[in-house]
Amino acid sequence: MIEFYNVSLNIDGKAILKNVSFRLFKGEFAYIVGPSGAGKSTILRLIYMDTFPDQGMVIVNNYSSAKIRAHEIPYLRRELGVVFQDFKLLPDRTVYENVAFALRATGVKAKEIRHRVVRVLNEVNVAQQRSKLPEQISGGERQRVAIARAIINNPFIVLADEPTGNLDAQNSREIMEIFERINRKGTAILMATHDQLLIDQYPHRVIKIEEGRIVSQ
Amino acid sequence: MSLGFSIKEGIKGFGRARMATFVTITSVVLALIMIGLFILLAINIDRWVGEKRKHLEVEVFLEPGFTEAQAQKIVQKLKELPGVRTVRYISQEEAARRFKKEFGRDVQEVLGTNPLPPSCILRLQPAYQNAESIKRLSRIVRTWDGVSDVVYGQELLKVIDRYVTLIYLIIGGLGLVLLIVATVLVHNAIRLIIYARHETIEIMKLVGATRAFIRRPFLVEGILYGAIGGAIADVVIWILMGVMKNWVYADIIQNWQTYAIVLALGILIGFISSELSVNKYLNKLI
Repeated sequence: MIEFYNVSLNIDGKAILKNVSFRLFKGEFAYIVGPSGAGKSTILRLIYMDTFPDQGMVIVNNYSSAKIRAHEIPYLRRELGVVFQDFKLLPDRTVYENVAFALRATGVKAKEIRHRVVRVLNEVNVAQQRSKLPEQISGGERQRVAIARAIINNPFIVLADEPTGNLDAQNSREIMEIFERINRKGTAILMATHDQLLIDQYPHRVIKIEEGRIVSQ
Repeated sequence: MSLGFSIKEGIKGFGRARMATFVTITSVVLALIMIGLFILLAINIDRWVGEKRKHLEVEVFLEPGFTEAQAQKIVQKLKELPGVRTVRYISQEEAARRFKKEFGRDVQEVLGTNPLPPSCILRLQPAYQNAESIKRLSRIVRTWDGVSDVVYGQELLKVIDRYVTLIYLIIGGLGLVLLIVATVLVHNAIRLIIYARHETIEIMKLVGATRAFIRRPFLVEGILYGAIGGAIADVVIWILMGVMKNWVYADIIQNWQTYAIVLALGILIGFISSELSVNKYLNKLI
């Protein structure tokens, strides 16, 4: 369901990815590992089509990077969830509003929004904090809110870019447990990380990337 | 997609940057007041010019001693000329009566005879109430037998024809400049607002909001800037017109259409400027 065919990408004359090919199957959990600047985040950006390959092709479900039109990109993004190291929450909105925002932006009706937001906040254990602003909750809780927002549209995959990078060991484990739970329900996870300890604790397929090339998978 | 959500977001955004909102609305108000006053000035000049043209008379003097029957032939010929609306014949006797009314003296008593020639007073159709048409008409009539002279307010007509168009052009040009200035001001304000909220836009994109959905709150915000600016400008113009009527010139006219135009221009400025800024920003992103 996600396929990279000989993908190369240059940014400002610098080769970020070189001839990258891999497949990620339905319900799979995989890590993309490699040093900083290796191209991990770029692979995720190529999947949610924030950038496009110079050569090769990325296929995400029925969408191809070679054929997708600008107006189709929002619909692709509704089929996947994205989580970042810095959470990317709206600071002037409550936990509830941050999660509900993803549904409002996609035109879901108010009645359904309430029901779904409450359910997903319970799922990631932040329902108690729903009326608080992001600055009033801990880093671990913020990342749970970001995960809640990523899964609220029932995506087939969650893309996580260093989701534990700003968290301590305890919070990192809790976040990983949430990803494990989500994955057990059938949602694929593709996580960019360089935290070897977590990979050892939660072993899954590892796609190793160095200087823009896949060196093992 | 929920339009209500977009409107709510637009209104929320409107209250977020209060100083920027105040400065932008003030600038829009000032520009729209000027535009409104220009429109009213143009309307009043137009009315004044219209009145002058409407009462414009061309007087065709006939040879003294012309008989009534001969004069009627001229009257008939004048009526057949293109652009002539009415022709009124002034006999020598009536000319003497008009002289007495105007100067308080009986010309017959003063001179012992009535030297005033009979004449025809022409009123023209609106399309012919200009210096060029009247000059052409006068040239034709002067060649007729029995016509001694053709007189009309040449100087006034020349002034009207030459300067009024120039005044309209100046008013229109200044109005256009002010419109552009107001649009640029709102455009800049919205650009700053968009920049301040680039994170929100990024998140909207990430969760799959369409371009139209992302744009809408900013359009609402821009329209609000324009509408509030337009409404305030209307109130100020209305007060200014009241003061001018009471203290300067009571015959000044105003109409509701001017107020509607000012409000509509405000909304249009807000819409166009926010549309430009949002599109520019989104084109960079998507």
